[in-house]
Amino acid sequence: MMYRLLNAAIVLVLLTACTAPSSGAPKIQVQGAWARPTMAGAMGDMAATPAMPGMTMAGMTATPAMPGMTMPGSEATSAAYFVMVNDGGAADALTGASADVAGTAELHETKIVNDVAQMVPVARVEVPAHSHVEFKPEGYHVMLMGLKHDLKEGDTIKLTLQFEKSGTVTLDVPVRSEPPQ
Amino acid sequence: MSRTLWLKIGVGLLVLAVGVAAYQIIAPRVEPLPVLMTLPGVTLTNQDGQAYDLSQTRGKVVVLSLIYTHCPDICPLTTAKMKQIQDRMRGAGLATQVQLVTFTVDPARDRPAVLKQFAGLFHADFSNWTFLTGTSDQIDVLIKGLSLYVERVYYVDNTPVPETALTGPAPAGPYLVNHTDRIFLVDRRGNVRALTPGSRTDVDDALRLIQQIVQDRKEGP
Repeated sequence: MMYRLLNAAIVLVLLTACTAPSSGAPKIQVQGAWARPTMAGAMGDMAATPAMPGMTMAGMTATPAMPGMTMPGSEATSAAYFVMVNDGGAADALTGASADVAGTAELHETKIVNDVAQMVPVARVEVPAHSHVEFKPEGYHVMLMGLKHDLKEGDTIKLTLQFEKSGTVTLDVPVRSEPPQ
Repeated sequence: MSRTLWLKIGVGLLVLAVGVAAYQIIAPRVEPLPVLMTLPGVTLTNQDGQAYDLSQTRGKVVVLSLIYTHCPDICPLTTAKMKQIQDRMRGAGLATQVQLVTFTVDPARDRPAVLKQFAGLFHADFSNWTFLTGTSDQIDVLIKGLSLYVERVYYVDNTPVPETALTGPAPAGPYLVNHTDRIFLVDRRGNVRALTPGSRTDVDDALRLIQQIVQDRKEGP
C-alpha cells in the first residue's frame, strides 16, 4: 500500500513538473503597437482633381465615372508595427492577423535586394522562448489592405494577432506617423 | 646680396614647400563627383494640378525621390528623410539653391490631390518641394531615364503575383509596387551626380554631397 502511494506521489510530482507554465509554455505579450495614417479616399476626390489630357489608367478595366466612386484597388493601405515579447519557456509563432478596418491583413517582410524594395508575405514569424521580435519599418509589418475608411492620426483600430499556441491577442492600436517613444 | 639674405630666402622657401606638402597630406581631398546620368526633360503635373516641366529645375540643385502613396513601409521613410533634408537645407541657408522633387511611380492612383495629402502628412514645404504625377507614358520617361526598376504586384487568391507573371487580365483588387529605393542628387545642369539609398539614406552623408554639388560652380549654367 505504501509502495503504491509512493508511486502515485512520484507520478503526480512528475506531471506537475511537466505542465508547469513557467518552464514549458510560451507567454506572449504585445507592446508598443502603432499603425500608419493613410490617404483620404484615394480616388474618391478625383472629381475635384483637374483633368489630365492623355491620362491612361494602366491595368484598369473601368474608369470611375461618378463623384465619390472608388476605383477598384485604390482603397488605402497601412502598416501596423509592434513588439512581441515571449517571457515563457517555449517558443510560439505569429501565424496571421486581422483588423476591423481592413479587408485583408497579411504578415509581410520588407526586403531590399539590389536597391529594389519589395514586400514578401511570410506565413509565420517565430518568437523564441525568453525573447522578443520587433515588427518595425523596413522589416516585418502587418500589411493592412482594402481599408474601409481612412486612418487619421489619433484614430484607434482593433488588430487581432493569431498565435500558433497562445491563440488570439486583440490590441487597440493608435494611428500615428512615428513609433511611440 | 648678402649670404644671410640668401639663407633666409632658402629657409623661407623650404618652410613654404614643407607647408604645401603638409597641407596636401592633411587637407581632406574632395574627389569630383562623376556624371552618372541625365535627368530627362518631361512635363508632369504637380500636387496642385499644374503643369511642371522638369527642365525648369535647371539652375538649381535637385534632390529627387520616388514614391507611391499606397506604399506602407518604405516610402514614408524616404519622404521623412526628404523632409529632414529640406529642414537642414533651410538651416544651412541653401533653400533657394536646392529644389526637392518627389514623383510617384503609381500615377493611376496617385492623382495630384492624393499627392498633396501625402505631402501634408510629412509637413512638406511646397516653396521648394514639388510632388509630381503624370500619365503612365510620362512617368515611364522618368523610369527609363533614371534606370529604375518598377513592377506592380497583384494579389491572386491571396498570393502575390508580379505583373509580368499574370496569365490573365489584372485583378481589380489592391496591388503593391516593387521599386528602386534611391534618392538622386542632380546638379544645376540636370546631371545626376550622386545616389543615396532612398529610405536608408544617411542625412549627414546626403547633405555633404548636396553641399559639394552646390559648391561645384563649374557645373553651373
